[in-house]
Amino acid sequence: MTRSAAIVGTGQTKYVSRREDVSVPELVREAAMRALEDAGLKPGDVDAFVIGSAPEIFEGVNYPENWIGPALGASGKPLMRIHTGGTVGASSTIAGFYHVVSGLFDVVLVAAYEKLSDGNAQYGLSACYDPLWDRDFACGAPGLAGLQARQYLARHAPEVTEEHGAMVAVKNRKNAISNPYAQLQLEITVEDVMASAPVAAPLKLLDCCPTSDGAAAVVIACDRRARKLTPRPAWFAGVGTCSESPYVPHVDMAYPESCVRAAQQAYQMAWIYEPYKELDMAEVYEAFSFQELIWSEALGFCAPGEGGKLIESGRTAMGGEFPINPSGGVLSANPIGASAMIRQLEAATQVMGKAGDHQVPGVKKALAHSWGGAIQFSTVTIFASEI
Amino acid sequence: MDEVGIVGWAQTEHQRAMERETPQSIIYQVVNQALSSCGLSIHDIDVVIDAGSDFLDGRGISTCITVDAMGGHFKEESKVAGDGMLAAIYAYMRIASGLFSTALVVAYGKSSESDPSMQTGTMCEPFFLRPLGFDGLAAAALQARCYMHRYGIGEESTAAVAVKNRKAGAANPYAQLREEVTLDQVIASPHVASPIRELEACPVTDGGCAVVLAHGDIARALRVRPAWIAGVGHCSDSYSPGSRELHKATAASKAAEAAFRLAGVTDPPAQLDLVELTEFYAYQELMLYEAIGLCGEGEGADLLGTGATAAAGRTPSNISGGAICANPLVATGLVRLAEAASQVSGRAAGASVDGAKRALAHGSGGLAMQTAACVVVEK
Amino acid sequence: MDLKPPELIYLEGETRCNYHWATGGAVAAFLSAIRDHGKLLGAVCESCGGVTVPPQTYCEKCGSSMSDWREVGPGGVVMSWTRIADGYEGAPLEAPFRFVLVRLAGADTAMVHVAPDVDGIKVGATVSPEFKPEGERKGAVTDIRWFVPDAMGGEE
Repeated sequence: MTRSAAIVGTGQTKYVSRREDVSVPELVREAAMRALEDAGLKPGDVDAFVIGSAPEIFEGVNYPENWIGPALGASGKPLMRIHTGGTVGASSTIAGFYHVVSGLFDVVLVAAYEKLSDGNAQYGLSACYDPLWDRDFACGAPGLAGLQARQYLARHAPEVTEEHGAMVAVKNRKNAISNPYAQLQLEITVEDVMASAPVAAPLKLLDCCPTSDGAAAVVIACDRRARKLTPRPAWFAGVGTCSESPYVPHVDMAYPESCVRAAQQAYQMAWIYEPYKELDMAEVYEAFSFQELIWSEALGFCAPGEGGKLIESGRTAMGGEFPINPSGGVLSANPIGASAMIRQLEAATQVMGKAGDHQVPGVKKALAHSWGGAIQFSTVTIFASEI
Repeated sequence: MDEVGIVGWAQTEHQRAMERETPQSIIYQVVNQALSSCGLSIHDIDVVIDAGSDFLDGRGISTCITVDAMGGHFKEESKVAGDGMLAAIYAYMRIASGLFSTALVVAYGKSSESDPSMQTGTMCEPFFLRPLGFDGLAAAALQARCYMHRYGIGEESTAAVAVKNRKAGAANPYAQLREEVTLDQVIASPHVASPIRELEACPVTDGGCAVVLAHGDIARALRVRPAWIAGVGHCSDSYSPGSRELHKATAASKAAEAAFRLAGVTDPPAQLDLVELTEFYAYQELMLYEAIGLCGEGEGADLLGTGATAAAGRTPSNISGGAICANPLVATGLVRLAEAASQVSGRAAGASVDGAKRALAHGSGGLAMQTAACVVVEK
Repeated sequence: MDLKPPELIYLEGETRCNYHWATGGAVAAFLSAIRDHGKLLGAVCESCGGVTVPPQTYCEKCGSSMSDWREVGPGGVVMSWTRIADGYEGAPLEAPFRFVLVRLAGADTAMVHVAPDVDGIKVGATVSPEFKPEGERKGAVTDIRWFVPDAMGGEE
């Protein structure tokens, strides 16, 4: 019989564009200590550590986990780093999950971070492109996301329009106002978004995420320990990841197969047949507004092409029947290496009833999604109040 | 914890520069060979866990373009940013959980395409080490002198490790360095960073390795003799060289301890038939003997002197030739695992340790052996 | 058509990124003390009491926070050294030179720095830092030019 595991504590730093008062290890330490405190534990109680971070070129230190580990109390303990691009925050939590359900460790601390202010974000992103084929044309992440949005809009016009992307931006930026950790907290209108400066058409400034410094951490415990540490653990009910090659003929950025498969894997594990009905909310990785529509379809919250109808209906707003990104999402804070973990952290805290001002009432099952690479890596994690 | 076996493996014939290969072709080759070696196809693999280095590849998120070569398309796949041995341990966790039946572990390093010393120079944090142009070699040299000074180890002892391993490498078809060296040659070679001599340092290598893990039920059903994973352990020491007891390989000690505990090894010299250790520099092998309990503190040179760790000795160490004969960086630890697995399953390609039943494989990372990962394999 | 290439093709490239690293409180205090006062500081761990040089806001050995400062050195003892014979890009000094691991007086950890290539740099030798002139210091660990032996001698 497989062991169970749950998140029993979380911690994060307030996301801002520059945290010049701390070094990278100190930034991660801040989130880690908060997570431990939330779980009622000390560093000495942790059996193993996992660190997740984005390409090393962002902060300029190779194998940064070796430098950061001691700041978390990991000296003399098991430590490994996971590196899967944009999904890393989530895939490191998932690695932590396997650390526990393998039976090797009872309590694991997972931390993920980004300190983009130490380096140059767009240069770092452009260095992700293949030097043989793409690098000469690279223009960071918005370039790719712009192509994705264009493909999506072209396929589903006129049912889906640029205004639907703007509606996502309006919703999430407003949600962020109730999240004390969010970097951007804006009350804006669809007109504001449509009038904002073009970045990579059809993406405009207010369709895009910021660059942020920040860190997040979660404490994962096995069944026996979780029940003692907190009255409402967030149980891992379903976990799925999937990768795909960026160079095959049928790559579909507007309906990524890796996202569909990761979701299938997680739903199967969690015994979920009708996601929209059986889940209470979702946190998806919408670095760019249109992505929330695209992920909603690939995750099965609505049929392909109906993303526009979904956002327009208001059902995914706070107070609606299926809130998406009550935290404000990646549009409101994007410390790249941590962003995928923050989606899990937010979903887990909703299940734990600890989401404060942006708590959705009565959450029993919540989904966290992330994407990464050339829109080729996907993760889906489902948390439940019971297993 | 469910039983996990190593059922297949493959490595490249490591070379200074594989000019006709790309990282993708290296990966594709070892993955196909590892699968053939156990009669599985990529469709039988549930998850791919890989290790690679962005800085080495000159490419952010290295898996963006290597994921298809490793068979990760439409699969569960995750990259561990450390030595390949850690990827093997994570893959082990996936199967031990009961949620996966098979896993493919892949690691590679193509140092010829860039400046390999930059790989460890950039490991240095920007405040106190990077401004001094410090790197892995300098850190190892400081450690070597700490160790040798404290226990009165002479340069003949560290040189003897190089002689032993180069001799072993000559019998290993996968090793990059296939010529023996004499003690005099080693001691006459120039210091790369005193007290470490050129012939005591690992070479720069292009290479890759892949290993297939399977759940016990599947391992038994395959018509190959697996190497069972009896124990795993990994550990990181503190980071700043000055904050560590450099004369001890503390991380290796703790990682081995954890693996031994799971494997029921209480008397390493009696219970291990061979060891495969990652010795980027010759002195490290002596420290590792002590760390894994083959002898007491400071006695590594004495142990070597008795011949106990020679190919015909009681506990052969690095019968593959070790890292001194081939160092495909990220893959080096995984190669140690493949070598250990091949010995206990009676499927060694080169020289073999007769009747080997249990072995320890060790992987290393960070400045001066800051991190370690150990796996105990059994027949 | 023959797909075998007439020769191998290599692409040249460079990844070079500039950085602007935030040092955090403890490191900034240490570097300012060097720059402004030519003094060396260690941080005291609130849990194990160890004095860490160079300092962080956390103790590397036990993970606890640092609670206090202490002036250390300026001199110390060489714990280890290595001779670098050939120059390289990013080298701190013209080769040959030495890296040293120095435990400053009053500190429980050692720090890495550089030294001239002289026989007086031995394990156990006492050494002292030579600071760059005040006008040349910029708040970096290289504001210390190097550590020089107090006298010839020491073990080995």
